[in-house]
Amino acid sequence: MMRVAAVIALFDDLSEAELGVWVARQWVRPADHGGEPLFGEPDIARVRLIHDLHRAMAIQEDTLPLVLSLIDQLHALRGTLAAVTEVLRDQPPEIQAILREALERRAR
Amino acid sequence: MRSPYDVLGVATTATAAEIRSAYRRMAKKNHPDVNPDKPNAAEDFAAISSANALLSDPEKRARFDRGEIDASGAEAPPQRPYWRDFSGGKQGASHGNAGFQQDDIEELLRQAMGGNQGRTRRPMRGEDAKYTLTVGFMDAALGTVRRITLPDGRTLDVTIPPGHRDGQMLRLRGQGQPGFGGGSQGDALIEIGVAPHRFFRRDGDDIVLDLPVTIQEAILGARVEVPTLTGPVTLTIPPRSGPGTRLRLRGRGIAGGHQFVVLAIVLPQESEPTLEEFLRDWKPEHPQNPRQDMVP
Repeated sequence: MMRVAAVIALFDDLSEAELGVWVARQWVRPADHGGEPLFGEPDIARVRLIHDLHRAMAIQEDTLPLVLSLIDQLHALRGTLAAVTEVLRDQPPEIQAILREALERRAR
Repeated sequence: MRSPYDVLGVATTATAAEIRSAYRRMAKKNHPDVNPDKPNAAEDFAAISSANALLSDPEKRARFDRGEIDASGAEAPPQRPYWRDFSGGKQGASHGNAGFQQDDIEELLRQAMGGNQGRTRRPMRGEDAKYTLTVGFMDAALGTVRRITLPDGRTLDVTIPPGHRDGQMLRLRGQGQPGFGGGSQGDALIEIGVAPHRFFRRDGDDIVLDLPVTIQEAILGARVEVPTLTGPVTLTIPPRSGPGTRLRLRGRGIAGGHQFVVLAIVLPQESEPTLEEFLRDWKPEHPQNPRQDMVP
């Protein structure tokens, strides 16, 4: 777990104030340790993502929540899809065949 | 290692603004968190970042263009975890994720549906082939052509430009390993070392030569023959030239550089009674203490 100072030290151009704004807007949600935010590895990956979007891809602050929300939805859908396919894989072959045929029919 | 220009898809003449906009476009297209199902995304994104790091720094870019550093001259960004590595976990759930384990969806669906649509193979550029070669001092200074034989039996004529420095890299485009799936050939990277010379030294484009002279030549002055890259020339040593005196032969270096001749005075090897006799009785007209500045 890393404190704010350690996180901003990972970047050349990230201020404590800017990171504070990201946290306040709940773009990243570090653990709360007696009022002091503590960043785990997933939080840091998320900070890097926001940094990439904002700096490397020049996505403006007002557009960022939209992009983050789309990425989150994409990841959520992948999770759901992964669960569905896993369930499919566990079905007996005849059920898989029925489903496959139905899917192929739809695709046509 | 692909050329950073190829990675960003820009011409070698691209302006800084063109490079910045190409980098943004490529970063948007290839960011691993935007492409969670693309296994190569992290690698591609790292290549894009490092190409940008090299080309957006005018000094590094110029050094790359001159062949002083290769594409790996830009520090490779350290391996880092991406959001997609966590978005399936508990943390991801707090950002609207259903909280299922990650997997390669394409692969899962294919397995679930028993499909056999093989994964299309992406074209891959061939590997760069690395060679080392050592040339003589004169060959490096004046330029030369060397024929090298590659492991596959092909021969390659390598033109070494005049003024080649020790350890400098030459890149021969398209002479590396063949590509796959329609990808282009890699490059041949040849690191060329320069063997030292018996009496010449290099200082950039200047040549430095230590020239031994006798005590008479140093005191009385002389005209002596000295070797240069392009043959011997006559050099005038002014009277009373001490050891370490640097004399310049203009334009006798590499590509407009000079040759500097540094005098080294050689004392007589054998006993010279006349000289010793003379020195014993010699009363200088201008006595001097050469150690007067060395006050302890």
